[in-house]
Amino acid sequence: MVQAIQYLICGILWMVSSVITIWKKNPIGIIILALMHGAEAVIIGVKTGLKYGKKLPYSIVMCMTFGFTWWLPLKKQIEAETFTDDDFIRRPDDCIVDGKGGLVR
Amino acid sequence: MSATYEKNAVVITPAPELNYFHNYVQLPYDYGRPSYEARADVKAIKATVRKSLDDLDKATGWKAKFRGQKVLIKPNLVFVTPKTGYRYNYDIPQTTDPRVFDATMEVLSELCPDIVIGEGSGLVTWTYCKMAGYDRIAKKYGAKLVFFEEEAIDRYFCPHAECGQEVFVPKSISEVIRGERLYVSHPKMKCNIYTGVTLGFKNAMGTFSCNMRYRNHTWQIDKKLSDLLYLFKPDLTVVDGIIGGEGNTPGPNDPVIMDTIVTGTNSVEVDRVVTEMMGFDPNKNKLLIEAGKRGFGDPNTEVIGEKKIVHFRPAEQTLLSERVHKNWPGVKLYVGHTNDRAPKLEKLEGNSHEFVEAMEATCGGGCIASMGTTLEVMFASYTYPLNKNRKLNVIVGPGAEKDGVKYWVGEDGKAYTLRELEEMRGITVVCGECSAPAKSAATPFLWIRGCGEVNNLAARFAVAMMPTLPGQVDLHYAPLIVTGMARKYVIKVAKAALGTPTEPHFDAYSDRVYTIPEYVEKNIQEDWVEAPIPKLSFEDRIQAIKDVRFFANFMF
Repeated sequence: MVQAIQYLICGILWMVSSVITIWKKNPIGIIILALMHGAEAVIIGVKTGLKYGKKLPYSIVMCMTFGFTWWLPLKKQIEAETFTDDDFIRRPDDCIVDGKGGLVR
Repeated sequence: MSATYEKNAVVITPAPELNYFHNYVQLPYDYGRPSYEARADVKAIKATVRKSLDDLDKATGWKAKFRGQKVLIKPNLVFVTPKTGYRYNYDIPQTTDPRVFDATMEVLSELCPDIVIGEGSGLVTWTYCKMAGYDRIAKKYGAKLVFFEEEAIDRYFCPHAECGQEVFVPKSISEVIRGERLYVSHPKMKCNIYTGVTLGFKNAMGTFSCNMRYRNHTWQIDKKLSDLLYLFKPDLTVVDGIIGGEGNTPGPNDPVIMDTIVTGTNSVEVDRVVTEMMGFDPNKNKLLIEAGKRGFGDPNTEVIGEKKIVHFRPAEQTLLSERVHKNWPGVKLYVGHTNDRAPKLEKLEGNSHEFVEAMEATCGGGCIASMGTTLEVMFASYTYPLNKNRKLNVIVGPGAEKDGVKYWVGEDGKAYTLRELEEMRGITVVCGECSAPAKSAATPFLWIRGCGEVNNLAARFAVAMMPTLPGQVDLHYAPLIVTGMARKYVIKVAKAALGTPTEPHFDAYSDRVYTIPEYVEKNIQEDWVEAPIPKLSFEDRIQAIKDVRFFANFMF
């Protein structure tokens, strides 16, 4: 839901910039958005998308459109789900339910 | 024909002791890639499942029966709830671990060229398959993924069934019934508030559409599920016991470390062994008793491997438990039944706690269990602290008669008349079709019709808890869940309009025997016969569209 709202805000930004560009003949908004998202795409966005398993054209389009609201959640999930063998070792107090909706770790 | 074995076996295979708590509900982002295959947990699970199935093959020769055959494999999806859905800090172990399912698919795909993965979670299966990653598993192995609740139904007549002689199943299950496709049941090792445990053959509940599901979803639920074995039974059962689930499933349950895979060729015997491993006596489990009575077990089954017994916290089919009193101090139960199973009301004051429990247990598999599930969901929800002390009177049953007057017995042992219940303070819920005589005591909108209909009941309970919103709230997945609901509703309505309905008419308003009189007259001796649904007229199609009840299908 949060991501959907973020996407919506991005869409509104693009629309407002487009209207200003056409109506006021001032493309500054679109240029700023494109430069920001382009920089994100080149530096980290596309790389993250590819690592997550998304295709190159899809990653470029999504990153150019939505910027960090697209690639940041992917990056967080990759970090959360990147494990070493150490993460799978069972420890004595690991994974014990505490009876209050929590795990004792 | 379905697989018949000269000898049945159950194989218990221990898995290496590892931390399996990563991705036991949802597959990781890198599923199917070398990094996934290199994970210690994935390697251990794959080796364990393969060993178990190989050992089973040595004992029964199941692989020869499956080679080259078409197969339908059914996991057990209920809610797919990552930790973000509730206030708990662990994922809810209600769903067959997709890592285990993937391991089974790897073995099956080596034998069978045509595999269908089929499931009907009773909720939004399309969404839950996406959330858990079952769509990716299907894609990896070239299997077809079907959602039972979206499939057109066929009708069957089972003459030997005690309560479910008329059965509606989706088309994919018809292939299993006709022997064109073998059936693999792939449940999770977990407790269940309706049936004690939910394992190999109880998994077939997920083949029912919404309206069919609630027929005899009452004290007869064990009979109903055992009756289904006349129609079809698993040819192979693989129980995911890597992380089990204890407590009041299908409400949010707690994980239990089991480190075990259990496989077998006779699902009743598999369930018997696993029930024992969960710390329960299979000879006291009503579901297993009913299946045994019908002759679906096999006492000569060989059990291979050591039974590791871990005592699971049992599901409590009651609103009178310490857990309910502690978690919901404001919930008060008033129950009264007059039937063969109910204890006779002899006095109006000082009835014992055991008496009230016995009265409540009269219809254990129905409304009481559904309310237990609902309260468990609400207990796990983020809004629980706001609702904890909500005063809620719950009335169940048509009333126990004494001297021509109807009474409902409270937890204090006192028998209350309808007038007294009507004058009670707080919000009053009257639950179940049989409770109609007490409906005048219900707060408006809170007389819940039907028998044990969880989605309707949960919705009304949510109203009773207003203004807060109790339940699973996962904003991240909300768009996917809403899309899944809309998709399901549109498909079901479209199929009804085209004359191929996905639902029978909703008629779960009593615990009667569901039958087809004209087939009863034929004195059929087979376990089942096809009873084709007559071609639908225009009026029938309108009715079929109405039977896709918006509320039931759109609630979750």
